[in-house]
Amino acid sequence: MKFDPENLLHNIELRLRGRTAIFAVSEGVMVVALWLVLKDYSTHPVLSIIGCSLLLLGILGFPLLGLLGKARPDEAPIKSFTNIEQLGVSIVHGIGSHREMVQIMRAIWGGRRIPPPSYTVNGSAGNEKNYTALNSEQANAIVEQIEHEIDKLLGDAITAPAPPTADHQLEQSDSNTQGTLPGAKGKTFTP
Amino acid sequence: MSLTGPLSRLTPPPGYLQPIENLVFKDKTILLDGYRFKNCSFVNCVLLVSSGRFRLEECFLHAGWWANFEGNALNVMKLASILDWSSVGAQYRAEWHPNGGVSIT
Repeated sequence: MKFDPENLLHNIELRLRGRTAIFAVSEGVMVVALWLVLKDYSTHPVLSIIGCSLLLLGILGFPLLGLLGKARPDEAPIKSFTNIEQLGVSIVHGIGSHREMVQIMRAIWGGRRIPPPSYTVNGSAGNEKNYTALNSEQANAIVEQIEHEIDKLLGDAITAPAPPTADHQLEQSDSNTQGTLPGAKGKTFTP
Repeated sequence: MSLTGPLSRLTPPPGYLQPIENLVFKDKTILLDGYRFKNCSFVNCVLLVSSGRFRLEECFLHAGWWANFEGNALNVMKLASILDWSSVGAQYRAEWHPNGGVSIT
């Protein structure tokens, strides 16, 4: 299994919130305190034994409180996503990180990662003489750069000001359909 | 916009198309949706279309290319298949350039 620090940070971002964050910080503080008490054991052994006992009790007892306590569903929000494509409205609920928002925006956007290109073109793409072959590293770098641009643009779209309301958009679309619609003639079918 | 509130409203789906220029794809399967390809070449590629939200600007489709349609694009394709193409105007056709490139904008 490959270690991915980005995924690890993502998980920490999602889980270290509210009560869980306080719990994790408290555990960390107690571990550091235990180390400090043990470090100076020779200078005050009695105090160190009492301190160690209390800290160990705290370190081991704290998780028990969490495990034995009542479940609090409100601390783990249910994630939901509603997209009304015709109105251009998307409503999300329970999303706690910017990264997740970008992933949702990406799903709405509808594009997929492009495959690695085989050549770059300097001039018209209709002439093979203008092609320069790419090795796999170069091709992947181009794809990664495109992915980065997409994520950045979608991330910016999340923080952009709210657009006009759906009602306004509907009014606009109604006014656009007042004229004669261009069309294409269908084939005539004979029964 | 706060992400931690109980209810967050996203902006509508972004209408932009990610530009891709001056690249050649060979023996690949590519979903065109979401991208604007300019001066690109597709050699022996399968082009997938689902939403139909894409652009090709002076791109070259070499022998062996194929297109697969799904979703909304498949319905449009089925409707197009029963049109009388002898009467169909230029706005419904891809634009062919003298150098052999094609544009769908």
